[in-house]
Amino acid sequence: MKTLKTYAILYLVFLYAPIFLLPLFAFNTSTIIAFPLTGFTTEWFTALLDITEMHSALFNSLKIAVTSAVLATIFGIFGAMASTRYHFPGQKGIMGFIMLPLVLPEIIVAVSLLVVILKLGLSTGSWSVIAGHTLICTPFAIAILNSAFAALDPSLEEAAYDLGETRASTFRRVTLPLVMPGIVSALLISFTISMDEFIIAFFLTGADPTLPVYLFSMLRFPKLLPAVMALGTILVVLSILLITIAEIFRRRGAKRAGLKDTGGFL
Amino acid sequence: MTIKAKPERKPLISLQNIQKHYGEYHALRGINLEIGEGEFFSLLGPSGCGKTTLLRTIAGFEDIDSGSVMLAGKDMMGVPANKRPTNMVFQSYAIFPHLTVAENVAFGLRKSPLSKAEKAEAAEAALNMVGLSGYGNRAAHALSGGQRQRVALARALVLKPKVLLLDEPLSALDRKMREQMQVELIKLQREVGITFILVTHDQEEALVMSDRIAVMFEGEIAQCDDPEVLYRRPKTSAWRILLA
Amino acid sequence: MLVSPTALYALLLLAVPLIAIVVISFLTQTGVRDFAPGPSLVNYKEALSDPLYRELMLRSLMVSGSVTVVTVLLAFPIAYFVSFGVKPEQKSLWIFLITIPFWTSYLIRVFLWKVILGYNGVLNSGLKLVGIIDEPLTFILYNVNAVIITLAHAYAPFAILPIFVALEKIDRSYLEASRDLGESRTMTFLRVTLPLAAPGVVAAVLIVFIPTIGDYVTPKLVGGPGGTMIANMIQTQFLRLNNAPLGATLAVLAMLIVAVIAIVFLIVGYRAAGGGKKGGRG
Repeated sequence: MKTLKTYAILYLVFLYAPIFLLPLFAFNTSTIIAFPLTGFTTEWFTALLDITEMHSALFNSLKIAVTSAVLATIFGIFGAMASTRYHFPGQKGIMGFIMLPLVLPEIIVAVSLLVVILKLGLSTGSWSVIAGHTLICTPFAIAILNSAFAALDPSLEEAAYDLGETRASTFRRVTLPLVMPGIVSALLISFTISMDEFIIAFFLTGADPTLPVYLFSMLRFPKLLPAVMALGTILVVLSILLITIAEIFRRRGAKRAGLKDTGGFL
Repeated sequence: MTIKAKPERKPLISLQNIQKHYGEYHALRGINLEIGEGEFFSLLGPSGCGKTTLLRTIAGFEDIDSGSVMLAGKDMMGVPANKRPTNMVFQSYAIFPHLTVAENVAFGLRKSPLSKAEKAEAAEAALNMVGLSGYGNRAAHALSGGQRQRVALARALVLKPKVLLLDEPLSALDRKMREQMQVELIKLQREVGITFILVTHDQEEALVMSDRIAVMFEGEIAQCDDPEVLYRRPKTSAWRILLA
Repeated sequence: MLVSPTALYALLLLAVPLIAIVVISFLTQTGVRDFAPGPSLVNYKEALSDPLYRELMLRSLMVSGSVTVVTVLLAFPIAYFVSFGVKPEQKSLWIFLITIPFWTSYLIRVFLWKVILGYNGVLNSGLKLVGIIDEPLTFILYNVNAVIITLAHAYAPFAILPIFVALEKIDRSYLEASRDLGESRTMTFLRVTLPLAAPGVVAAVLIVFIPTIGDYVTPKLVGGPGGTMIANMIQTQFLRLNNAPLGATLAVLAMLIVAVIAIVFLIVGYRAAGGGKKGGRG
């Protein structure tokens, strides 16, 4: 087990190594991303403030991410409630299909949506990116909300009903508060996925790029590389922050329901 | 089967020829029963005999195929569970984990015309009755099994139902707790004075606590009598069940 | 029915487009948005006969296959460690730490590998600085090797999780029983743990193999001309050559091949796990 532990630590180092390079070189004075380090500077970060196209790309991404997260979570609530509470014909098949985007290569999703949009004579835009992102985030939302709803003792809702509540007020007073951590978690995860997503945005974006798409265009200019490192640092820190918050909420929800922790949205 | 006779009490619940199927499965095969006011009544039988189904039918959580359920002279057909004068203590107790003990107990009082202070008083009185006075501010998820059960009782009783339904309330407790709670339930029922209907598979429990017991088997009532009569002069079918 | 909004959305945005792709593969494109009427097999003929596409497909399969093997092999010990070597209250922390990189931007991570493996990149400059090499290594960027390394890094968590779940499900008393009956630790692992973990390994293989075949970003950024994969060609057909039907055809063929391989593997894996007869509490 000792050797395994060493292996595990080395593995983690390997996993995180590239990411640690980001802050390392984002504060480095050299324009070339290589050793040795030349000096400390924050100029790349301040340079980011001047790139206005990046700002609009960022704003676009935020808009898309918030919308996709909300839609995906709503779809996720419906899907999770249906799959944990009821049994209907073809349940496995339908749920399996809804979860399909988890294993499909994203390019297939992107390309097929593009085909439909072209065929319908429509033009791409933020709406098409939102549509695509919602599609791939919903399975994640369902997975998270499935465990949130499954952890809910069904007799809790029956008890509320027995004590005089209606179905609607039962949902509001009992169900919703108890799955709220799961909802928050699903929102944060979907938001993060959408913010980081590249391929679908690349294919389906209109005139205004999303941040990852803009980032991709920056990669062609060697002079911009340090700025890319700076931007990358910010994005990675934000992602990690959001995911940590999501995890805290998930744990809090599980604790409230009095469950043991099984380790994630599995 | 003939209607089971009721004792000197006024009949409160009248079940006539209740039939229920779950798909192919015949869960309740013609239940005829009258339960009186203030009676401590038990439904006893092995798992799968239909006792919980019958309880839930009275509560309004299960529909019936045919027959009638009358509560206090009113037909309960079409009356949903949240509008019936019954309240239930669930097998898992179903204490809301996101609320305090006091909030749990006062949960059903939301729609009542009482003032906030009156509701708090009523909740505290109910907690007192079950021996948990002062527990109001505790977080619900930090309670022991026995404490949870008492909160469930308080929560149901504070609404002053005409009938209290208990679904295997003692099965999750250890032996010592169980014996203690048996005594407390009897005391409670006498104090509150309303009808208790208890579902159990434990014959000792039923014999100790009940005024009358209905022994059920495969969807039917095999025998319905006082504990004494049941113990000394059981009908053959009921004897088989009691021995099991 | 509660599931209807979600199901409807999936139907409209997943089923319909997938069907559309199949349909389009049988058409020919004449203008930017014009399609010649009538189905034809022209695209399929071209896709199947032109050696370029065949080579791309084979390369994609080879890359995916290598990535899958490497990733799953490296992942198993980690999953085993977290399941058997970590205290229960720390397990979810480990899993959390392992999955965090997955939640950061994929594009950035691939770009970072480009930066690492470059001629004047981090690895080379670092090794030069320390004195291990004099000349920069050239075999690590802008070819298939770079693609494999980058993909293996990106998909590592994908492989670890299913194996971990499967290992967690194994009732520990099975292992104790095996030891009690006289088996050594190694033999217990081979005869009990591994077969019971097989479903997790199968899942890990599929979860890595299927998406990596269709990866676009990695081959584009670090693959160079010799490291492009089928997704890059699909994109080229769609967005640069205005030949959506051919792109669609390639996509359909790629999906079919992957589906066949996946099904075959599932059957093999199912048999290896004992056909569910001596499964865990799965």
